Amino acid sequence: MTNDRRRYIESNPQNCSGCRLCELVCSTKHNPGMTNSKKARIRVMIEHRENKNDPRVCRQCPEHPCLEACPVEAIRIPPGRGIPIVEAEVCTGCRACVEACPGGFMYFDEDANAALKCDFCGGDPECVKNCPQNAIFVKTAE
Amino acid sequence: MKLCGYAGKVLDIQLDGEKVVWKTEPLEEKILRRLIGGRGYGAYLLYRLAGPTVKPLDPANPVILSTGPLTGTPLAGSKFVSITKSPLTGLFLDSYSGGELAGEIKYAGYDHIVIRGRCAFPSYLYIENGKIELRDASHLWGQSALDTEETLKKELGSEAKILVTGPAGENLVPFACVCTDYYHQSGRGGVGAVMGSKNLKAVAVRGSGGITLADSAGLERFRLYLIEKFKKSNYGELRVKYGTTYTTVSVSSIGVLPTRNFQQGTFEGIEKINCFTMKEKIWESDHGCLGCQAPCMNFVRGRKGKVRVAGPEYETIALLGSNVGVDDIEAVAWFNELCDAYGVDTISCGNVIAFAMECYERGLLDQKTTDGLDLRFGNAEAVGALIPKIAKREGFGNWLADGVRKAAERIGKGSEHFSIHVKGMEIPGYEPRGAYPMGLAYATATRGGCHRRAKPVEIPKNRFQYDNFGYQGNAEMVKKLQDAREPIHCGILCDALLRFCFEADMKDVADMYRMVVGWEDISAQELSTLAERVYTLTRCYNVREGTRRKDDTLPPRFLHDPLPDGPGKGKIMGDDTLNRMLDEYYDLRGWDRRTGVPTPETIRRLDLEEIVGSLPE
Repeated sequence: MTNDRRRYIESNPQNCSGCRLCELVCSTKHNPGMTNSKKARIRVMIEHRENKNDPRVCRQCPEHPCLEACPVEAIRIPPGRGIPIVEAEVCTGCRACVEACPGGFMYFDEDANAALKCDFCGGDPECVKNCPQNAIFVKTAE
Repeated sequence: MKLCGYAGKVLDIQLDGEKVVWKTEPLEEKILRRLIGGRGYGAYLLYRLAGPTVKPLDPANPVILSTGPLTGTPLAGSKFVSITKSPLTGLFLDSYSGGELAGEIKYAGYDHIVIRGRCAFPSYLYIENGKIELRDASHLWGQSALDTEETLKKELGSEAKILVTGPAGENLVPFACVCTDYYHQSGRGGVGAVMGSKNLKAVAVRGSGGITLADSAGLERFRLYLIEKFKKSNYGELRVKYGTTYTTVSVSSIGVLPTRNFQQGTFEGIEKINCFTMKEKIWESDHGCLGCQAPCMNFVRGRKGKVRVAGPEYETIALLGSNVGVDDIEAVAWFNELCDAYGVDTISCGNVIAFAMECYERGLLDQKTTDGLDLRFGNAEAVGALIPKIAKREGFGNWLADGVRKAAERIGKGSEHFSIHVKGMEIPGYEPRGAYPMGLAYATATRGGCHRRAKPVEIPKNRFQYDNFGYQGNAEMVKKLQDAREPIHCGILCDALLRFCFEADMKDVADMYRMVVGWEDISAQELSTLAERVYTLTRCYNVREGTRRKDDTLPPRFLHDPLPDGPGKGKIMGDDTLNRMLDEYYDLRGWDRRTGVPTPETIRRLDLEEIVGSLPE
């Protein structure tokens, strides 16, 4: 744990229109030259008939149950970053971290057989910049 | 060079009784850039697969789900198009839908999915990347489109994107739609009936592959440019706030709002069903299609929470509101939900009910025939009772279930004078007697009475020189408006978003193709030629089916009766005006004036020779 104040992406589901632009731009940011919402680290859960759209993304919690769960140390906190990052080359695709996340905020890239976790884009999240509805925003924990 | 944007494959599925046979084919490189994708490439596939001997409900008639190279990219709202031979018109049909299925088809690795044949019993297709399965749908048969999707989502998980048909499709109603993401439809022309004829209740798609982008850094900059254009646009904000319902304001001010089966162009109850009332009384939130910055869909609740639906769109308000004389927005939302659940097109359904109401008021029908329903205009309960009867072909519903053209044949007694359709397709929410160019747009749209190829109403005079109550300039405007949509419909992105919110021009569209596909030298000029090529290709399809100049006409009411109200009061369009517009239009398109058939020179100029071969006279 670092002493930095925790910054993460918070959502305001009432504003979300379910357009998934956040997913598309997230996937392109992390996979230059392609777009694929199945590789996004943020996902919108949509219940059409209930009219519920819920953008769901890692809250960068200080407990790191994902990191604790990983049997091969594929999830590490790089020096100076303060948040756990999945190293896809090391990840074996066992999904222990996906199971361990209490918020259900970790996803899985079936194509690459690796877990997906929000890396906060190094401080300026692409999804937040592109959300047309201000349904997601950067929050600093008190 | 490897082309980006495309998945690169056509999935060709043959339903064969209890089993499914399939193969994939690469996109044909030789013609790819000539037709790009979506409507263009899909029209080519239909041209090749469904000739004049194939009837719309034959197993051989394909349902083609087409995307294009821009589909699923983060540029704008994505769409797919369902292409088939229409059971309503017997002609070329392309019916577009938003939602999320479009992107999923590409993620699964396909640009186009072609479905032919027939299942032995109710079935659905499950497509997950390279896995294609035919699965039992007997538990879904008879279920509403909304419930079917919900059941399948529970069975398959929320990541599967699903196309379903409702009971109307099962019962081969020729204006049955197909639905996806509950409230998005390929609404027009009866794709649902073609699915029903195949015993195919649904198609579920799940994919994990991505879409490659030639220049993702360039696209990122381009997106910011589009967002700036959106902020400066005239209609962007209104589009988000009211969606298509804002049209209620403009059409009533210019007197082209279909009212009581197109007997009038203004409706005294419009204020109770317009966009402001919708927003105030029933609106809950906005919903957007995949990748759309301007969510224009309105989720509403009405009738004390009993009605929940994304809608009603403008067309639904016009055809199932003013056109049936109903001045209650909650009732219109109810009709919308019924149509979505039973899987019928709200435009055709509103028309056919309005037609029955006019017959009833004129004494051509009585309550013995209508199963006791009092079909006077404005009777909302009767409208609500008729929609399920039509979808189920129950009693009097069956009189109306084959569309307005067939209903007029059955009822007779001069009712064909006010059966409002072109080539069998019922007319949407714009009365052409208050805007003559709209008449030409209806007469020349390839799928019949349709506003989605050109909608020349309330066009600013600084954009086009035209005559709203005459003919001069109208043909050129209609052709240009039709052509403006083609490159977007080949993309496929949302044309409304591009035109209203981004005010995108042909150069912007060319830039999108350049950055997504990697065609460095693509130009606005090339896209203009593409537009003409695709328009003429779909015309050739209809010509091969027998369409000629005589079919490019309007319902007798529009041509010969004066409009009784609004700015167009007393005007009669007449055959002469329509004929003058058609003459000029055919000249501009390079189609023969006498027959309406594209000339051999035009076919050559547009590089269509090897696709269409030689056409009949």
